[in-house]
Amino acid sequence: MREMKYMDSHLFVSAAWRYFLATQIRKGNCPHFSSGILLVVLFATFCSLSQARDANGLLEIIITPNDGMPALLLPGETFDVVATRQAELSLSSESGIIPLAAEWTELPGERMKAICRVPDEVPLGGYALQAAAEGATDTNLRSVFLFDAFPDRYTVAHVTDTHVGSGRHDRTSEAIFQDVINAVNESGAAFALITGDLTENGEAVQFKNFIEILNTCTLPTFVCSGNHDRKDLSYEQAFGPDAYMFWFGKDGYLGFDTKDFYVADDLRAQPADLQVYRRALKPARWAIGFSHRYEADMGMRAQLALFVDDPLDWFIFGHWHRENTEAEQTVPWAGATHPTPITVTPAAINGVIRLFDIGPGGITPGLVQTVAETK
Amino acid sequence: MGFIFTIALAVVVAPEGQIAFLAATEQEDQQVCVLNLPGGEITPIGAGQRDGEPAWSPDGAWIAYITQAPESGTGVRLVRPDGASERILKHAEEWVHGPPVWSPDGTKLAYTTGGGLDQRVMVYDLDSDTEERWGTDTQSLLRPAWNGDAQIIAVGTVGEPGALSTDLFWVTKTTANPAIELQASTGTYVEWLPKPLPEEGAVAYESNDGGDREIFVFAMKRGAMDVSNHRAADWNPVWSPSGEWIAFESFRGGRRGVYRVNPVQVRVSPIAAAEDHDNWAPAWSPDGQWLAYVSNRDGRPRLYATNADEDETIAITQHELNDYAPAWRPETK
Repeated sequence: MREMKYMDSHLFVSAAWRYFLATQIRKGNCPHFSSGILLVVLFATFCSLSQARDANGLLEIIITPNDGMPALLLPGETFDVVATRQAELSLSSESGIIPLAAEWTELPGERMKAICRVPDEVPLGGYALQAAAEGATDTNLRSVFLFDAFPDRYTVAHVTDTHVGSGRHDRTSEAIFQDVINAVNESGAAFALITGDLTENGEAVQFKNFIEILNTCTLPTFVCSGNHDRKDLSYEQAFGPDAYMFWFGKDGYLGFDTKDFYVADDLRAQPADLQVYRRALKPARWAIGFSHRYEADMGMRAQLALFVDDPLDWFIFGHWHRENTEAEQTVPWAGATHPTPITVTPAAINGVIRLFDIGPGGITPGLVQTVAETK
Repeated sequence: MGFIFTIALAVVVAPEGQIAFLAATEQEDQQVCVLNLPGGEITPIGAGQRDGEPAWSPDGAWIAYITQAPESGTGVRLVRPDGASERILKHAEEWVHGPPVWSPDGTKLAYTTGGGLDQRVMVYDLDSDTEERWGTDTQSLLRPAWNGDAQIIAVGTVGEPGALSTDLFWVTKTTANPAIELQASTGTYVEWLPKPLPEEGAVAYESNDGGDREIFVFAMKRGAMDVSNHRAADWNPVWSPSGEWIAFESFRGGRRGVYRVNPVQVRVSPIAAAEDHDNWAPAWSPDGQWLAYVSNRDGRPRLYATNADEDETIAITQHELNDYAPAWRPETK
């Protein structure tokens, strides 16, 4: 009964949001909409927030995909779901619940992985992923996006250092971030990378507020952790693993966490993930890394994997709260084939974003755009 | 009867000695601990302030590690294995980078100081309580390792930012010379983690010479030779106490696993490798029978030990923290 009630309420929200996204994605992955439609979408999405994650906005049954690490798919493709336990999985849509066939296997750490196939007939657009297990229902909003095709040329929005919860300006950090997300929604980008310092100091309430605003984004959003997000395990509880990869058509993206003193701590497990992901992205037309921070002395093991032995084609990050200079155009390493170019985008808490043009000719960072007032 | 036999067998095959390691939930509370084997008792002995990986003195009397300095920055601390006393070294510079490396005679520690890639090798004389820069004023040096008591081998950066690579350098108090004889071939390769075996005149190290990261061994009579030779990355060479084997990490099984190779026969065999989890940071027992390492096979990084010859593996830590960087206490004579 409880489950039915949820499904009914979620049906309404999901319908408006999903319909909108499906429409926009059919237009060529360039969501572009009027403020009227935006209001509908925002309202619908906000209505659904109480159904997503737990009371603190943290992950419950479904670990990934989620709204900071969604699955981008073509109809008929498969995707992995990592969960705390086996569950009935489905996609939420305007036509109701679309059950997913899942093959479950155990993972180390008492987790389960399901390989799910999206049925061919599922309409394009964005979906919530829903899990039902032992009387509990869990929903990750904006977790699965179905495209009809991945274009050769597209735009990526880069947002970094949102510092939700800070009092650095006259306007609240939440209001500034909302304007930033509104601008991303109107940018024509295929998806957004949000590279750390999501919060001011990693408090659970700051993550909750960040996620609420994040879920007003109509594009897929990929996040990673920054030094300001590191309080207990707040980031991991909100978004899951600290390193991951995804494909957008021919291009591979690798997101990872940079600790205060390390690109990835040599002693821990993350460098191995980065090596495995970098190797998996070898066939990519462009292999693009995104993280919060880079300094040349921040641990060598991950740098060997990402910038020396098999250099990424581009590396996007923030943290500096300024643009990189003429003298800071690449990482210092020559790399086996080329030095990896870098682009540093200034902080979104100061009201700015940057768009990248990705195409057959290369990766072209656009100019920094001011999209929000701070006073 | 069968039960008794099982217990007796377990006692017989269990490794003995002490292992220093790091335990933590997060990087911020990383602390040096000592594990007593075979009992399994764990004693926290480090400062617990982002402690770095522990290094035993050659006589097993001290453990050195990098941690937050009393005022600011980082510094080296020495602590007794039972935590009974400690010694805080005084550094000229604010930021000290590890891990600290003991000279074979146990009188000196080498580490680096500085910022970015502009680092220099510093040597601390524990008898005179003085710190001294080794090498030259112009050469940036990283990851020192002792080759006898009077010479260090270190990684030196070469070239300008945007075109940077590394070479290995022989370093003394006043010199830093490229170890040209060690490079498999010339080129803009990045060598890393040199591990000398002075008694054999050999050095193991990593290089991406050949296309991906491999373990090379330089030996006087043979020159430099790729001993791991696989299209997947191979990392972190660690000599066995006898010099017969090199343990290393490799991705040839898909995920990161621990392997060993005899550098003469160049035959690689797995110690701990799996498709669904990682095994890393190998550390040899003093008798060379066991390899301790970190494994996240149950989801949390914990210490395991494998007897390579007996194909026996046991979990040696099972507490509710994450464990890293095992280092076996040397045999005390």
